[in-house]
Amino acid sequence: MKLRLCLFLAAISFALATVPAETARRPRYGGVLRVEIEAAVSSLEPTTGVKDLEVSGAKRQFDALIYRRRNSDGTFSSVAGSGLFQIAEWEPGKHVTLTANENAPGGRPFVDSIQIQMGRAARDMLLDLELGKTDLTEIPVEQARRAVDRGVRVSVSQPDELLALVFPAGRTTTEDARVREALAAAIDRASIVNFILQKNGEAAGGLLPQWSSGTAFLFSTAADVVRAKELWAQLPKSAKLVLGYDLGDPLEQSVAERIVVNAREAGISVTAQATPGAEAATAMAASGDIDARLMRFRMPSPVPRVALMNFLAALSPVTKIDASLLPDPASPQDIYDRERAIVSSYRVVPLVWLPQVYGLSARVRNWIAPGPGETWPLADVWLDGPAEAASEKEKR
Amino acid sequence: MRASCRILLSHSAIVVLLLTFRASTTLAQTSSAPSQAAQSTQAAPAVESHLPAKWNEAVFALAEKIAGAAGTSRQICMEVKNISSLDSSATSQIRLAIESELIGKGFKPATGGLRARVTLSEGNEGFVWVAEIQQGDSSRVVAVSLSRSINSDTTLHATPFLQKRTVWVQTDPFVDFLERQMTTIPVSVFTVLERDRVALYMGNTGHWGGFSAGGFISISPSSRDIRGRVTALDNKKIKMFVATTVCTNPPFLDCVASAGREWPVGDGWNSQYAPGRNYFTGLSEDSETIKGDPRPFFAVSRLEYDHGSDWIETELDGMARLYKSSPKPSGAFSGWGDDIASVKPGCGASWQVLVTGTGDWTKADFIQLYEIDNDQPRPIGQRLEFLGPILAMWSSDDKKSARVVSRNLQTGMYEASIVSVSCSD
Repeated sequence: MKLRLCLFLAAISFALATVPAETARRPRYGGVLRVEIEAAVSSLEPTTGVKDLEVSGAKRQFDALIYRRRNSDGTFSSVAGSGLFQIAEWEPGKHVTLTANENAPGGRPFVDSIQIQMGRAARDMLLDLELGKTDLTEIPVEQARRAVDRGVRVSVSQPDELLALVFPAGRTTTEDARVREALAAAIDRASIVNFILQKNGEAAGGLLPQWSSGTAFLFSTAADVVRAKELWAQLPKSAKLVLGYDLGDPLEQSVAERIVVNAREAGISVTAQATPGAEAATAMAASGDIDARLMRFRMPSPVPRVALMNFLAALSPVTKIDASLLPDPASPQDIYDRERAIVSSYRVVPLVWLPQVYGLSARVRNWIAPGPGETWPLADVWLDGPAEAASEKEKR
Repeated sequence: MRASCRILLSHSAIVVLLLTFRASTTLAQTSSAPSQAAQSTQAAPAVESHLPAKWNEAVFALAEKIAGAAGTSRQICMEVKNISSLDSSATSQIRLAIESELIGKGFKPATGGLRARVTLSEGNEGFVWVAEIQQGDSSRVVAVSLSRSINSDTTLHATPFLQKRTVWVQTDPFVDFLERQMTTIPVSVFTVLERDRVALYMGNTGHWGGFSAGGFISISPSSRDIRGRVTALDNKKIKMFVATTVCTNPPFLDCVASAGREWPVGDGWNSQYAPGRNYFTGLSEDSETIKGDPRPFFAVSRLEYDHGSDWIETELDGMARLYKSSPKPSGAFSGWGDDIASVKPGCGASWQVLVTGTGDWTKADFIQLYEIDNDQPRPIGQRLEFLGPILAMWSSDDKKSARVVSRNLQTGMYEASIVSVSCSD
């Protein structure tokens, strides 16, 4: 029951800058929903695997729209067009047009079709939203406040993506836990939330957010520069630490630069270095001389055990942290104990929880920001301005 | 003085409401009437006061101004102070009404965030409601006013007000429900009509037993906003309409697809359900007293008079239109939701209309009672607030109440309620 409530509250968490004119309650049928995304999906085959996390996430959204069957592992299958929408046009990596399936499970979607433009830059998507050229876009969380200030209507999910500092095992520079703890203690999470994220996020102390585990408040998120200096002073002459971040991720770059500043204030020498972004193990393997790396982890489920096991499975190969199975079901105590053990090892230093931010045109209705593991609810979205009513009038 | 959250404001700005009273009567007279609807233990408590309509407008206006001053902030610490001739009961009702409006706008009480101090004051020309708003270092003052005469006018006669009784709560969505008394045995049967299933529960009001009978209903084509209705054929049988499927029960659930104009849209009138959609194709020409081209609509509300019937349709363009035995509307109303139901209470105008609010499934909702006066709607009494969208509303057979299906956004549960109109003296 609590989980149901959490899920529901998560789903309805909205931050609306400008709200649409309220003209009706019941959904209207008709219209074309225009969507722009940054990722470029090159295949709609459900079996095609994608390594790039962003493209993989976008492809999963497409699959959820066009395939009827959802497998236990979260992937989709069956015949293309058997789901909520059917493919009308498809240009790999550029655009796809989907039309409503009249026999869709649960009923025909409210919109007639969806036009999805791919490969759009964040700045262009925001501009198109302002100019009324699109109805739904993703907005990088660090740009959410700016979008609101510019009058864009935004929808914000519950924070469900962890940005963390990860120390790979086997690095001589960071094998002493005091090195890792010193750097962790030096980081000012509040300034990351307040200045870089413009308060669109939460400082993270644990591996799960408070709304999911209920125990995140037990983990401190405060910086402790004095402690950092003490620890650093205990160490023999240390080498300069290299902090890696995804070269295609402006947020990670900003956070990395902030950490460098924080570290310097504690007397710790750190340099930031851009590295190719990819899935966790691959990224770490390709990181070369990187002593620590910023990484993002999206919760696959709101269920604490599922989310935590997923994190551990992704991190264990590079950090050698304990990824043994938790009891199923796991009690809050089980979850907390495992989290505490990992956080205390300083192999993974949680930094901030990020929400997913979406920009909406004023005519989009019934949009609920999807929670962890959920897909875009585009079949339930409808467009203000009764398109079908107009056609009904014409018929008369 | 009562504070919503116990914060003293040392550096606040001011919001002011001006209320001008021409008579000396106070709100205490109107507040002496029953003020709270009966609530089942399952119902979330809704704020139900019955302030005069013009007072409601002032409350609404104040809330709008506070919301406007708040910007994007939706956390508020509000306190209300009365320095006018209003008594504590009136002050309390106004405070509740303002709080209710603000909650309806998405505000949550909190000690941080926006701070608002509302002062109910009084000037030479009437009451003055002043609100002081502080957000960070910035502060702002807004005001509204209202004539005193409104108060005295509304106390001269009985005023209808809405009551809600929640009778059923469940996790799965449903489209309609019906409670009926068995004639042969002293128990009732509660019918819950879901999207693709009907469930019957035996027992007595508030003490229903477990699932006792039912069956599955196949709908094709389906709809994501499916409409359904349960009607009692007699004391033994019920007939159910779900989209284009019609079912009867008992002795067993017997369902057939129907493309005819037999869907009971209300008050003795029928229509045809648009396949795969959420509306009706129009009242047919052969229906009694109805002429002209059929218009697609979401809901119809019939107002029967000695001289014939007027009716209101909520149509697909978002407008509600009043018809008087003619295909040409006599009036068109905006700002109404799509679900309406006519009722015939024992006070006020002979016919009144329950109207849902606007918005979508992500927002709280309300029901407002209207009278139709000179072809124009006139709101009566206080809104009845719901903690989520109203998904269905149908008039009862006796026209004293309506069945309402809603979703509580705080709990995620679907609720069945009986909304009735009562009269205050």
